[in-house]
Amino acid sequence: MTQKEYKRFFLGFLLCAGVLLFLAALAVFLFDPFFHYHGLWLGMKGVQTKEEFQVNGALEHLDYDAVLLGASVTMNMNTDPLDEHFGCRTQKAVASGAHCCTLAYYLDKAYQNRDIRYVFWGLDPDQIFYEIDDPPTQDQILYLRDKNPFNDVNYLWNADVLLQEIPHTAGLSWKNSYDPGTAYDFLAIKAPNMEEALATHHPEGEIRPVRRGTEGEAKRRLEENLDLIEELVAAHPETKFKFFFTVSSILWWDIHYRDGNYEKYFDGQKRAVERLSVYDNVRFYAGVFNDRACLLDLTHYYDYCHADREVSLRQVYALINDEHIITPDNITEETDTLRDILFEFENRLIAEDGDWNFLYEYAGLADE
Amino acid sequence: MYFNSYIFIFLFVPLTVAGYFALDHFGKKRIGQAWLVLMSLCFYSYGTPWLFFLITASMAGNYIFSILMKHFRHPRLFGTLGVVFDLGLLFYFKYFDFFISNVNAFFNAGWELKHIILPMGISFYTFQQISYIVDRARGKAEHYALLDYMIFVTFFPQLVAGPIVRHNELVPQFRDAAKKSLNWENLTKGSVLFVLGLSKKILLADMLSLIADQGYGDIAALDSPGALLTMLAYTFQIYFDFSAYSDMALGLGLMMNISLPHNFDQPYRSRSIREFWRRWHITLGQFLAEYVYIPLGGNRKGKPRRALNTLILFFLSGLWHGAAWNFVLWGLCHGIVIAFEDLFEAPLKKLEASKPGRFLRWLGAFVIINFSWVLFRVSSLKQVPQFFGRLFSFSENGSVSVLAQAADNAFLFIPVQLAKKLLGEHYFYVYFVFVLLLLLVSAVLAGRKEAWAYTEKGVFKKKMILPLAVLFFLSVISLSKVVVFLYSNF
Repeated sequence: MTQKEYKRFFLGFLLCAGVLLFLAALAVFLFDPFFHYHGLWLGMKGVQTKEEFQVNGALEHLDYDAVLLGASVTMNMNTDPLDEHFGCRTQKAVASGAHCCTLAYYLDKAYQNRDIRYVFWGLDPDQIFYEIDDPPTQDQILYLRDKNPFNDVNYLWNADVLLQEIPHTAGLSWKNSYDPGTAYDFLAIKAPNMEEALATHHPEGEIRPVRRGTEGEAKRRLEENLDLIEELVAAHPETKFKFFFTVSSILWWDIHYRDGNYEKYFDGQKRAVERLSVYDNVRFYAGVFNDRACLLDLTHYYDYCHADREVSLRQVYALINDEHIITPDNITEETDTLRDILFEFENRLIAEDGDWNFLYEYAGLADE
Repeated sequence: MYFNSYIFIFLFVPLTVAGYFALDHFGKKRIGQAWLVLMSLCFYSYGTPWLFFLITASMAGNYIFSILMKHFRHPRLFGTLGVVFDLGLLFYFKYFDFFISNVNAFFNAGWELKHIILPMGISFYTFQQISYIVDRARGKAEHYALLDYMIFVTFFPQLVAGPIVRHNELVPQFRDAAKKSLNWENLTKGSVLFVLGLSKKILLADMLSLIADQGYGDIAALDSPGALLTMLAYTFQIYFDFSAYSDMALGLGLMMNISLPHNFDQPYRSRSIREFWRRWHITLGQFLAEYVYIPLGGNRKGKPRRALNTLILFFLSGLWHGAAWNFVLWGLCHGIVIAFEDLFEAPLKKLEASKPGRFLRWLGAFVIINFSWVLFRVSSLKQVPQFFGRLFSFSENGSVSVLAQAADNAFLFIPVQLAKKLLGEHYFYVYFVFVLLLLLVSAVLAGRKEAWAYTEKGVFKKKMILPLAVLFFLSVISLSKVVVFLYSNF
């Protein structure tokens, strides 16, 4: 081969590879499954299954006037009934193990892009005890959060996006078989199962001394987190904030009974109600967080913590029906109810010599 | 910076190569070389700036010893001091915590670990510099100009994971004015070799790693077929991973008209472990032979001494690969087998006379290689009996199914969806077929010529352009979640 022939081969290769890469980038731009560049077009339904990749873009480009904030325990909440009842369009802004500051970051983002009428905020007990840190900046998804066009190559030339997300999103959209209210629903991944829920529970043997949320570092973190929420509430009187305590199974509470944190969490819930209820645009809901059946019936759980659609739907209807409202006057009563169920459970566990089988007695309780 | 990253492929390489040839075009040959050194240092310290200071200090130390050897007598003294300096750096960054943890284990000392982060490629560039210092002390190497020395150590294609290049293989090439101009033949051959290496790493090694990682991540759950699959997957993974890196390094060098030494030559076709080491990580074998084995007496002092020298050589080889006992055991295992091969050289040679005999020798070597990779891959020595226990349990619990599904990846999404429609609950057969194909392709490719052998011929037809572009395209779109190179950790 001559130098000229080598040159032709080399340039031919560059051209071919360039065309392929351009077509790939074009496909990603057009379908944009993570809503990084634009809202919905081409008949797409806004399929949402990967919260860490999609929430940011969804808040920027989709249409909504209400936001459902929370950690993984809120992911299964169907927003359709909320939309129907309140006449709004709710966008889920959820993150696994969400810190309060992550949710505040999402809410800020929502306010930058849309007028928000309702905020449904799932306040799980540990959320308000995390250290206030920077907004989420995991390296692997930084390209979706910053404005640097160069690192978009991670999105534009990405086998997962091209060969998985786009066909999946387009398939569900065009078949018309996707309900946006079920965004990030666990059912897409697996079904609830009591055995599996129990299999994920590995509690500590020893029981540690009780910790409080009203003293030391815990108090500082609690107050800082509540400051953050309060700032948002105060800055947006036009928005109705509906806070609700999320539900987790009794196994989750068992973990914190043993690590001594359960009282800290009750303190946190009490303090949140005290501080935020003074605002006219705030209402607190107990939902089903201390509902005996929802706590004890593990057939509705995927693991030691996350409840299924049915339990989540009860949570949604508590908001719709304005029931089980919490005020500074009755918060102690509400947490007492949960504490009683927890103590009853722990006593039974001792009586059963650590044998979890008695939990099968509660199976089906939540359906009754 | 890794070879398998967007920034390297789309920014670093074009900029470096274009800059190098542009400076030559304008008659700035030495500046072109300085440009390469600068870019190589950027490559090495990208994202971890302190590495710049480490490699600079390492180079400065060695260069000073070379100056001392030039201006004063006592080359042996300065040579020894230079080697001690190099080994000291290597010991501190690579072996200090290993040493402390062993002292603690044997003497209950309770010394604190330093948790030192292993700098990328330190084993490679330290060995290269040792070879230079020893050659200087032996009077076999001249004192190079600083820029020549710096390009010898830092030249980015071979900096992080080899091949281990000797100064007399590299420096003369950079001094050769004829090699400084753009050469379309070399640029094309280098690019093709780079693309073949990249796709070997991403489309084969990384896919195989999904199976191997799953298997080694939960050894207790494996049955016999599962352990076998895990073992084979890792055997192919490590070969494609490391040889891919070498292919890419060779390709990158060639783009700039620099020939780097071959590091692999169909190692899994070996019919003995000795032959394996002539085909696997060739440059390490050559380094250890010249600077350890031969000075120890090599095979000149009788059979027992030869066996001992072999064991020392492979003990060091194991330790070079990692600061943990499983690597040492892996090295010793190879050393012991080679010592036996030497001991029974005559009957083993007889066996080679017939075709079945040759096959038996190949099979024996391949089995030993596979078993020894288990020692290399486990995360602790405790896992060795556990793994072999599962392999020879002759049990079946369906772990192959778990391993096959671990190989799930974006390329399988559409086939799996189609299979769900056509096969219903039996859709997971797609994963079995995929794994089978993956192993088949791996076995076929491992038995064929190395990529460098194909590109050396340099006969590229037009019809190869599209498949090559597709390989490149598939590799690039798989970059965002590929695993790091195994050998850069050594």
